[in-house]
Amino acid sequence: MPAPAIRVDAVRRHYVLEDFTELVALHDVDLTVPAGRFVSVIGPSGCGKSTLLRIMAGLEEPDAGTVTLGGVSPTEAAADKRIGLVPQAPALLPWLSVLDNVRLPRRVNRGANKADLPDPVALLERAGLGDALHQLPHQLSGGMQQRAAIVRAFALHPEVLLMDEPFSALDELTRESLQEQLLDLWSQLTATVVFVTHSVSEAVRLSDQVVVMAPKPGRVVETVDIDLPRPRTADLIRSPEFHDHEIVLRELLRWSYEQGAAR
Amino acid sequence: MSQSVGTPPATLTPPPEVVAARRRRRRLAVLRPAYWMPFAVLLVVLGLLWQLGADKLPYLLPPLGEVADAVTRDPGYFLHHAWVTLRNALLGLALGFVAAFVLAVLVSELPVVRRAVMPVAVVLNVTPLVAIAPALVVAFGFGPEPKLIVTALICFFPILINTAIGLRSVPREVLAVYRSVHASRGELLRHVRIPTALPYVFAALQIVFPLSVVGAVVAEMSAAGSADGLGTSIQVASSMNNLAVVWAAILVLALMGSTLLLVVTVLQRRVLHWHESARNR
Ligand SMILES: Nc1ncnc2c1ncn2[C@@H]1O[C@H](COP(=O)(O)OP(=O)(O)OP(=O)(O)O)[C@@H](O)[C@H]1O
Ligand SMILES: [Mg+2]
Repeated sequence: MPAPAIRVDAVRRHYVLEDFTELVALHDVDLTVPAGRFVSVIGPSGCGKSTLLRIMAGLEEPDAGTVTLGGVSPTEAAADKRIGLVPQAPALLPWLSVLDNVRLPRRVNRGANKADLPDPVALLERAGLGDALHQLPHQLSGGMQQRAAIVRAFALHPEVLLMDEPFSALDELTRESLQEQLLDLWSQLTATVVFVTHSVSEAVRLSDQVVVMAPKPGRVVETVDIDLPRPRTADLIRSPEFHDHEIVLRELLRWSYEQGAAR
Repeated sequence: MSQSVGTPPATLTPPPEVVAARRRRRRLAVLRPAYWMPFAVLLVVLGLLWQLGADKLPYLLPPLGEVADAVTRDPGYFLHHAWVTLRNALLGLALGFVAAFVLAVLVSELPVVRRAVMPVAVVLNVTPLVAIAPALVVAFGFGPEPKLIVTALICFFPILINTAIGLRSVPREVLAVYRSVHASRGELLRHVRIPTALPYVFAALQIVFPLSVVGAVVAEMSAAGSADGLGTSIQVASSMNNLAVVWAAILVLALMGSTLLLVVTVLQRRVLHWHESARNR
């Protein structure tokens, strides 16, 4: 199955608060992710990034607008196991070994499994967890847990990968090595990726396109193409072109942060 | 920045005798004096106070020697009655557990059932069981049935509440992962919710194992015509002013409750080895 394009069309999401007023978490969000592309979403805290991701994963319904993944609704895509979700926390089950944690999503809703799923042991070894296969999550470091969570999503061979700040809790060097491993796995699997992050350089390094959001109300303010060649080598990351992209994005981010702060 | 000769290895394997000693130390921790000494001292002090009290108030406390005599004179008597009480307690507990667990699953899955059942369960919980027991005896007679029902009722509520809370305690992000692959409710229950609830279930078991003995004894004492059980022994002996037998039966009950608690605790450590409660000791 080819990687599907993601289409988000005039999506609104209002949360009804305790005092019966409504919080506009997403206001008329439009977003198109071409098939097989890696798109990052960046924006100040509370601008609705996680909400958008949850709607794309079919975990929440928009109050208005539509979302399609390769032409079908998120719920249908989930039923077909076309979505791999990496949440903000690793969300490993503490009583299962790393290997069993990776296997469990394949053991549920079996009917929708793809014919040729990747070998979970090989994937874990590739992610540097070969020695930790039979360990429990609490025996792993934070970075190792996060890697296990990413492998758990990849083991489904998903066509859409939705990741919510998967590296935000990690130190700089671990983060860089995981970014490399992510790109490595992605180039093998050809999935359409939506990646939420707070880090400008992470967004530039990983993405074909960066979507900048602003809060109050949560909305998309700008989409920036990152037309840098791949693979993004260490030299490229130190290049002026890379820095130019960072500067543009940082400026946009500052602007949207002030939007939120001004209200 | 080369790996210098002096860089220590990342993992160490101590000599086998050190490993063996560590293993022994962990297993035999309870045998070390630092472990049991405080308790033993308290026990001796309490024993001495008891003897002092028995000297001054012979109508309230029998000397410990007499209590011991009562047991050694006819151990078969205590064994029989203890067995009957234990059997009633455990059968009642099993009954209450199955009912509460099944209901907890229904309550957490179906809001309709929750709204119907929870008010009834709460009312049942605040009604003193000591008051219900005689009514049950009238209804079911002097056989084991009222004892099982009282025990089951007394164990029911803690298990229902804890299990229902446990089943709903799955972190939101874990739910998101398994919903995103469209796991069915049954799969979610079996693979995620029930294991998540286990620590809560065991917390309830810690409470209800000893409580089951209370339930069985209360029921036995309410059924004045019962033939056996330690509750019956206590009533019969106290009506005959046989304080030694009364206290012997009480001590056997205390021992029984503690043993049951020990059994759950050991079981809990085995089953919940992955849980914080087993690690942060
Ligand atoms: N279930 C909910 N009920 C009420 N308000 C909510 C709910 N979920 C999110 N919100 C609100 O919606 C807004 C967007 O939340 P969201 O989690 O999508 O932000 P975010 O961009 O992911 O932030 P962060 O970068 O801090 O993770 C926030 O103001 C938040 O308070
Ligand atoms: Mg978020």
